[in-house]
Amino acid sequence: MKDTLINVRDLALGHGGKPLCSGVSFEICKGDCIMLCGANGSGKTTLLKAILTMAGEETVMIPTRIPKVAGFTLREFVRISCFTRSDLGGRLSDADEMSLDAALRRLSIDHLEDRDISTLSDGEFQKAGIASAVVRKASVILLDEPTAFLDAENRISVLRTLRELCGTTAIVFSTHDLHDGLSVATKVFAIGSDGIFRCAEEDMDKCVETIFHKV
Amino acid sequence: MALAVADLSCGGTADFQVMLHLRMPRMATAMLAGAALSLAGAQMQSVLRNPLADPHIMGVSSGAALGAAIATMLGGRAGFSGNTLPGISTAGAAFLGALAAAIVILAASKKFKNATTLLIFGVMLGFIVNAIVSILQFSSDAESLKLFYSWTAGSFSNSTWPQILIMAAALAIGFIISYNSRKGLDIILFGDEFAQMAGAGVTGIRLRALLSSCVLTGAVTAFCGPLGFVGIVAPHIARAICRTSAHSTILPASLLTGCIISLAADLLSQLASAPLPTASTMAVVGIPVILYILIKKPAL
Repeated sequence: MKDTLINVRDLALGHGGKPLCSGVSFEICKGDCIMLCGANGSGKTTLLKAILTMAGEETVMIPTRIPKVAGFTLREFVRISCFTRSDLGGRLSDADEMSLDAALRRLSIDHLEDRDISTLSDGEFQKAGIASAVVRKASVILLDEPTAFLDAENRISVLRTLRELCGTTAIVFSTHDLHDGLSVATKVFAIGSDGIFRCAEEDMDKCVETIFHKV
Repeated sequence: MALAVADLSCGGTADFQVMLHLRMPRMATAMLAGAALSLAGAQMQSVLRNPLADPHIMGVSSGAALGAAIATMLGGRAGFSGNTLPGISTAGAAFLGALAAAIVILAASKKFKNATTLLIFGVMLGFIVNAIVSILQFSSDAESLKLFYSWTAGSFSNSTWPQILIMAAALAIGFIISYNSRKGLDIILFGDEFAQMAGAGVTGIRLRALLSSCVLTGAVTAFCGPLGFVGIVAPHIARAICRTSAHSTILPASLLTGCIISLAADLLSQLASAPLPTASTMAVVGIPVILYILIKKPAL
């Protein structure tokens, strides 16, 4: 019944020669909104990057803490992000410009398109990054800590946006805001303090607990 | 200048000679040097993501100075045609020195992925190279010291038309390389990780920018001596005037602002009864602007 987009079996994760987590198995299906949690240094970013490397071009990852460089409008930023779709001068095709318009409207940031990105809130800028993934026709969007450093209002707004996008794509986001994350997630990936990867669709709270305690 | 043009229209042949052999080469040199250094500065600021990066800070100019010092002091005065004009061998050695420093930076850019670390490496490289230059100066005779000093002071007055042609060619090559890489220079501003994940070849973008900067800086430093500040300041002025950071605009705009600043600094340095060293004039004009940038954007 479910459209499986990415299927991972028995993956071992490590960073800089140090093993982090082994026996990682999961499926990412169309419509999933997956919260990835774990302590700092547990391998969340490493896992997201591993998924990006294994998956095809239709998987897009938005890293955390992108600098808001002054001197670009929101629209220009989204256009720049579509690096592989633009020509030598950075111009997009008419069709892509139209899907850019659609993406901005869908994320409710179309009224900000001519604003300099340095004047945007972190939440609005995060949505611009998500918009670029939509323009790039991503079937899976990986977000590394999209809610980090956001105030409560922006955090909720970004998470709701992620949930809304899930109809047509799958989303995996890593976060430390477990409570807010759980409210929108349909699935949880947790890297436990025991170094074991767990995946849950039901009893998500219990799965989340494993990142704090040895079970 | 206006006076010279007026005389020229009256048919003064001596003035025509002055125009052709002194004034015009000097103006052309000033404009080309400013344009080239600013274009190099604009690219280096982007790939190193540092608002204060330019060829001078990255040690490329110091490499050129070392080349010149070796040619002047160890090679004796064989390389000098006439009494004061730096000859082709000094210029060539400066060019090679700039290239050598740039190659070290290129190698280091593979090792140090972090932009700030690379910048510090560049500054350190400059220190080391300058120290070697000082040691060479210490052990050289008074005559060559004087000659070398006049070169390091930075000047637009010693260029000949063939040298100007070389600088113009370098400017054209440097501009073509950078302008073709404009969308890569845009995306690298948002971080290596972001650029890579968007499908951009970060190493290639950085290599192209440094190669272009080398061609530009090498040619200018070889014929005018090490000139700082214009490379830092001009791109900032270009960004402020054009109100954008997009390289499709900023690259040509930096070229133009650099050209104008350099010409203005050169005219200023000629106002004094005895012409001042151009590098000093640029420092006096440029450093307040750099301090203003620092104060205005403390987060950088």
